[in-house]
Amino acid sequence: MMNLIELIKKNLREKDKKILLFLDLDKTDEDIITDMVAAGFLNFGSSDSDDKENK
Amino acid sequence: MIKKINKIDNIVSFTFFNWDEMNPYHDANTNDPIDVFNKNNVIFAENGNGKSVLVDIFKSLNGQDIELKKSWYRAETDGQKIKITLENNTEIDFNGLTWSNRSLKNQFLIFDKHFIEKFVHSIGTNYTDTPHRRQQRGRNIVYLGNFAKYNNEIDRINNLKNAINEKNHTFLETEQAKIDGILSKYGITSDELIQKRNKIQKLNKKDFKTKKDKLIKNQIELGKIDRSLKEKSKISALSLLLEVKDTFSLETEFDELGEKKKITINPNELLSFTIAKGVQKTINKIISKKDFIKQGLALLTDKTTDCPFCEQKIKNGEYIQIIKNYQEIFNEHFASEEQKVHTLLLKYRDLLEGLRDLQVPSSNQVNLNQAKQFITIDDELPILTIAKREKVLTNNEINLVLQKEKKILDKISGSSIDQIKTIIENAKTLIKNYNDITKKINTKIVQLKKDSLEGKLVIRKKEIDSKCTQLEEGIFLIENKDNFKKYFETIDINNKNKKVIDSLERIFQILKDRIVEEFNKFVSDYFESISSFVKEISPAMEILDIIGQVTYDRRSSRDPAQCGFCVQYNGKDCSGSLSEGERQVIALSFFFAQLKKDTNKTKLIVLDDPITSFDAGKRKSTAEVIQRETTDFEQLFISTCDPLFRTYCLKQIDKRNFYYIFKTRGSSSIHYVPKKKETIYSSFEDEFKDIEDIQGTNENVVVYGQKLRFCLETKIKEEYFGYSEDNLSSMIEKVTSRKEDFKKLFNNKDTILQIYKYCNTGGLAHYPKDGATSWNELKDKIKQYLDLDL
Repeated sequence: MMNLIELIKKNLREKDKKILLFLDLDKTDEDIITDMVAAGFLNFGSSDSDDKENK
Repeated sequence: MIKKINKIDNIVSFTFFNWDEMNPYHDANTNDPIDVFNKNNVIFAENGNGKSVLVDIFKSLNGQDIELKKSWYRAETDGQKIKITLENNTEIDFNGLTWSNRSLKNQFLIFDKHFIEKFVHSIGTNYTDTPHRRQQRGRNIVYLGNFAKYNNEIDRINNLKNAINEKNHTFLETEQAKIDGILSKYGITSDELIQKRNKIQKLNKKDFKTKKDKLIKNQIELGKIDRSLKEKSKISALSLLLEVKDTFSLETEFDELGEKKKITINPNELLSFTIAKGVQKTINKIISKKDFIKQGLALLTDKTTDCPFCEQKIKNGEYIQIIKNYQEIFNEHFASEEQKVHTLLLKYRDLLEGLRDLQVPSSNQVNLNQAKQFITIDDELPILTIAKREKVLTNNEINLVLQKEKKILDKISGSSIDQIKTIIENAKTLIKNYNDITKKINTKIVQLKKDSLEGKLVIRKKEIDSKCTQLEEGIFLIENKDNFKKYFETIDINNKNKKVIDSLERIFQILKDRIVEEFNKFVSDYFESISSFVKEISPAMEILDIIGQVTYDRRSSRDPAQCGFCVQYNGKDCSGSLSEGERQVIALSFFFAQLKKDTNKTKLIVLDDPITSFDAGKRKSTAEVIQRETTDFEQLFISTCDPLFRTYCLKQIDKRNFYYIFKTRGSSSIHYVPKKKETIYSSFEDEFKDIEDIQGTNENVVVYGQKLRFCLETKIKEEYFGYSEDNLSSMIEKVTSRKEDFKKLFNNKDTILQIYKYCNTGGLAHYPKDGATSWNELKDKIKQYLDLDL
């Protein structure tokens, strides 16, 4: 049986589909957030960006 | 349809199962198709014998992600093998990783404890809560099918959205607190700051000093306006500054023969004035009269009586007088030249002294100081004196003039007229500059007086106030530009993060709509069937549909979503706390509803102990439902460890074979039970005869204990009552009417009960305390059993 998320996939906007790719519910919220940050969808002022600014 | 499981090698408890070798009745009866599975198959096995391993093999064939582990008793390096023969004699092999043929993929419908765990969820309110809170939180609910999972998915998305939102909020909040701290000192809000974003971005740090200087100036100006407003009388008394007259010019007017003439002082000429030069000059001046005088004199003879000039009578000797008169005329001209030199020298000296002593009007500084209290002076009054070197030069020139004045006919040389001209030009520039500044100051004084009179100072104050405010803001923004830039970047990032949150919100909303849609479809597809099966299996139970509109929404986040059902037992709600049995009833009903709905009847149905928590009534009704609902399907496998359910199944289900799974010589084995004599105890009795050769392990104590109990129960039942006999009156009839047949039973009653008691207690149903002792005890009991020869 499919996940509910799989069922709604085609009804989503393109930009929402991109977010959907990260929603691996076997992962914890923190891991999903980390993936989104790594992919540049989210940013919470990581130390990397601070470093860049300092440079 | 599966015909046979030829081989199971090295799969958990199936250490080395070979269908043909293990089955003792193989080929014994040609009419009894023992070497193939039937359309329906009942498999009985006690716990730990390998029943669930067989179900796992079916799941693996079905394509489910099941790990078929290796046997504990085989070397780790040993490979695994399963060989299955299908009805059309196709063989399917498993090599430890994959199946050679996927024709059975998705062909199984399997009911086991995992089905229950997966598809039936009883969600109850927390019983430790107060009734009021439980009431507030909503009702209990039973999720069926995927709806617990769907509900969990929606919760996860919502929680993820909230987690990101909170993280994003905290992220902004940290920067916001910093900015609010900075802004509070200046008195503007962060919203106002955001409106100034473009302005801030254009600000240049290099302008900081300029703005600061301007601010200080304006603040001073403001102070002065304040004073002006307070001391109006002093403003009206302010005097204008005097300008310095520029009198330094070699051009001068000179009165000559009654005519005023413009003349340029030539110091060199003046200083070099001598008698010769004076005479020459005089002659030059009277030269126009020279011919007149000459002609007049030529007319003079000794006889001349009348003067040729004035026609008066001339007396002898008077010619001398004429000449004298002429000299007088000459002298007069000479004196005039000399006087002119004197005059011009004096003018020149005045000019030089003026240059030397050049200075500002003494009242100007006083007036200026008074005005300064009220107006801002951009340029101070300049120093108005010539340079020291120039003063020395000028003094030297003055000395030359003085010298000449004393001795007017002496030739004096050494004039520095060229340098003096330069000094004059410099002085003129100084005076012009001084006067320009004076004019500016005077303009301001005049304007101030005018503004004061006309009451414009208040407006002026407001203008400067406004300028100061703008400058202060500019300075503040430049000073904190880096902080503001970071804040704006944080806002941008925050807004970008919000787009992800918005996406999650949209997904969340769509999921909410979809779950309702799916639930309505589920209700339409299954509810009626489920409800009917529940009633049939357990008449005291009832499953109820949602009353009213289905919705995902809940009164609090801890409420269950309303995409579920209500279950009652004897009219009482038990949705929130289903017992194992109730849960199993619902799960089985859902499974049967799925079978009913499934149009693909080529599938194989597997039910692994579907009645674990059922009472006798439910076991019987379950067997009936199984028989009815699986008839149209290709093949059925029911496995159970429950003797009563086994009995019901064997009675209810037609076209069936019956199998035991036992551990034989260290491996689980599937044993076919012939229809005519549905026991395999005689094969176990053969094993008992070789009991001394069998290792007395803890596991064998359990296995052979089970076999001993099985032999005792089934042999007595089959030999004395008949296997299918379960009618009490018929059994009593047999005992009372055929006493002879039961003689051996009566005579050995104590031994039989002793062995049976030992099998049911004494640790045989469980693992023994002491392997060696138990094995020896068991062997004694087995020998006793064989000696009975029942």
